[in-house]
Amino acid sequence: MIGILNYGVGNLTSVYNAFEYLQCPVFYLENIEDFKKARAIVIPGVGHFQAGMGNLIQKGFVEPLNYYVVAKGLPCLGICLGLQLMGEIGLEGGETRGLGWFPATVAKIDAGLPDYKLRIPHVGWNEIVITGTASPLFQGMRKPTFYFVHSYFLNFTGEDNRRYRTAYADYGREITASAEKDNIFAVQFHPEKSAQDGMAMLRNFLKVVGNG
Amino acid sequence: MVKKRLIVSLLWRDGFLIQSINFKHTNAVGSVITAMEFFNAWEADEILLLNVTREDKNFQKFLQTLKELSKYCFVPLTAGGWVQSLERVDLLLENGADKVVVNTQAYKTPEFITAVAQKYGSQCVIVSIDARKTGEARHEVFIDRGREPTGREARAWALAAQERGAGEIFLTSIDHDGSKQGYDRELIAPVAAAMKIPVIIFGGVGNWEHLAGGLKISGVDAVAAGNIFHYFEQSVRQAKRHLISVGMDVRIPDNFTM
Repeated sequence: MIGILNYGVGNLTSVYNAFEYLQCPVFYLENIEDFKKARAIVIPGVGHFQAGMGNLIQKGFVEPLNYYVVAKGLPCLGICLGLQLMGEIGLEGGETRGLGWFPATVAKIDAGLPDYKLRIPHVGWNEIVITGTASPLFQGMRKPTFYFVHSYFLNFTGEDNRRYRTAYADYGREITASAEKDNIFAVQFHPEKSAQDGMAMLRNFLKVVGNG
Repeated sequence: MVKKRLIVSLLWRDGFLIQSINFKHTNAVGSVITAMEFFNAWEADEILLLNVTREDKNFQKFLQTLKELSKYCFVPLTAGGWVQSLERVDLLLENGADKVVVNTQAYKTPEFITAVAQKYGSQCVIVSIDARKTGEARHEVFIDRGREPTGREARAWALAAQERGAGEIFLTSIDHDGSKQGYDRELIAPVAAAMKIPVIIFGGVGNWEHLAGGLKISGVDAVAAGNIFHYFEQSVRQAKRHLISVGMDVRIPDNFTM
């Protein structure tokens, strides 16, 4: 079963519905005991870094996440805020420590670009540019377009871009659209809201997870 | 670069979808779920479900419709109408909405916009503005389903809403609603040009070229329409085809055939 982490942020229902639509067994992961039932964990979320991280801590999810995902290698997919929380430090709502699975800061889209002119939040459908070795998430897809809605992004620097970033979207700068490290997958866009292309990506994630 | 969006707006009243002309409701056009299939809604870039019930009743029933709709809606789904409290925002999001539209309550207490933005992020709150022409080069904001004049200029309120934390502006021309004469450029252009946040426009689409015309107004990010999609089968696909054929940078769904 796919466990959707319920840590008190918006948008859980859409993610749940998408897996149901794909006829994949799915449940809300509510407490530490539930981790044992999950073949894969999805960290969804729309919202605020500091509040989101606060909720993870308050629900006691940080330790089991590190144990099951990092130590035991359970496949994990972070979506939007879920991706951001995997960063080292978040700057939304004051400097906050994240899960630290990716060596990146979660910065405002216009960070360090005083002449940045585009509107923030980045809302809407954007094509992604697949980089490096092709991620299994985008297999069989030519020029996928996904739905984004966010003001902050996972900002890798230097070599880490090449190492972890598997796709970016062009929005006045290269916005990390997806990142990957072993069993950890993370996307800034919302596959559950990206119609055909989103469903194709979720199906690919389920292939990584395997049957069950 | 981010695509321009085509938004299908569904007006819901007492359990049915309806059409609207100058904010006066006309035909009931059926159930939400049937409509989604009729439209081939996956080709829309966003669905907006608006509760335009005249009195504040049926909110629970609206939530049920929203929940049902969200099971089939794998594009962004926005809900609004009678959103008067943070509790209602919570309920809409719990029942499948990705974003909420606020209007009258936001106008009366602009702190409400900030409260929603603080809880869910500003991308979650769309401020809807209904305006009508009340003088030369003057477009006035009307609240409470277009019934109550405010004396405030549309552009001024849009800027103030942005300041309060709105993530997008949904701008409706009451004069053009249901008129089939195209978007109200005179209302839209000055507002769209002034905003830093995305602007969605609504009211007046009578043919697919009107959608393209709307997208050409500087500062407009998304065009929304309602009534027109009820007249043809596969209407969203037809609209998309037109927009692509005239060179608009809209999303082309996978396996899309011209």
